[in-house]
Amino acid sequence: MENKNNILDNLENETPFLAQLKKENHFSVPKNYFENIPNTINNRIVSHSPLHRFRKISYRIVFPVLAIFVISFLVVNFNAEQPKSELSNEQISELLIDENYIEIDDYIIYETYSEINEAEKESEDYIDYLVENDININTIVEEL
Amino acid sequence: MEHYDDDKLLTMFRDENSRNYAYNLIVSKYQQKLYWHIRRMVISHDDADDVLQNTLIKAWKGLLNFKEEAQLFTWLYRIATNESITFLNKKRKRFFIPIVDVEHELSETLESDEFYSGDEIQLKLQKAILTLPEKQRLVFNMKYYDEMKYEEMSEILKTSVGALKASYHHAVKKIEHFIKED
Repeated sequence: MENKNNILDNLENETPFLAQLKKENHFSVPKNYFENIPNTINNRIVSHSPLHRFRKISYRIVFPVLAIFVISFLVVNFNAEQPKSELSNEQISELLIDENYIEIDDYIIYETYSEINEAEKESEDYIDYLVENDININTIVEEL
Repeated sequence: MEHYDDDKLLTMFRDENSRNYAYNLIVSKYQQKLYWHIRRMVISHDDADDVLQNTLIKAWKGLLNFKEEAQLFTWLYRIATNESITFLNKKRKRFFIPIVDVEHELSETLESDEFYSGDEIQLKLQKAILTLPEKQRLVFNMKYYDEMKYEEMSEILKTSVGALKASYHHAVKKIEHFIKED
């Protein structure tokens, strides 16, 4: 109180204008602002604690490393499953059939092989005919 | 909430089991004084809120090493003062604006602040205070509004009592001059 009186005395000596003004606080704060400050600070302290920061840093490091590891693993395995271009036709067929890349039933296989045999059979008939009738390349040229 | 003196609060803070509770009590005890001190420096509530939070976080980090050479409140007040000045300097650097313009910006903030309700003469006084150099503004606020003793101010601002008296005298003269001129 004495201190306050001294300040007021000084103010009157310094400037009457300030002494005349009511010393009121015209600033205000949002509702319940001060009630919430201790909680806000508590939360910030927790988020600044060494354990929390260690976890945060761990997540920052562990997640990217884990992600890189998983992606690398998937890429390597995906590439390993791809049929190599150097495989022989038989290997490709085996892969197609064994790994069920396409559905091939017995009928398709029978039809495919039958067409090949018929084609082979046709050319054998022509050869037999040419031999039986003693037709060689010279005869054919002469006829033409 | 229970009320303890600073010595008791500090003893409780040093005990790990009661540290959080003690700090809550310290925050509750001093938050308003610190807030108003900061608010008068940075003007806007949002900025004052940021600075107050930074002050209290720094205090939490430093309190274990607090030597009790100063009073707890003086120590907290010093952190709040430094944080306010740091904030204003950052603001200046961030927007590449000179000191005069920062004060001008603070003055505009005051006029449009929904959390300021002063009448015309009070607004004029606040604007006059904002024309003062930072250090003088601090001295004026601490003396005029917080009614602090020069000795306490000297401890917080690390300035001699004589220099503070002179600074306050100049501040008052400038404010008077500003209001008469305006």
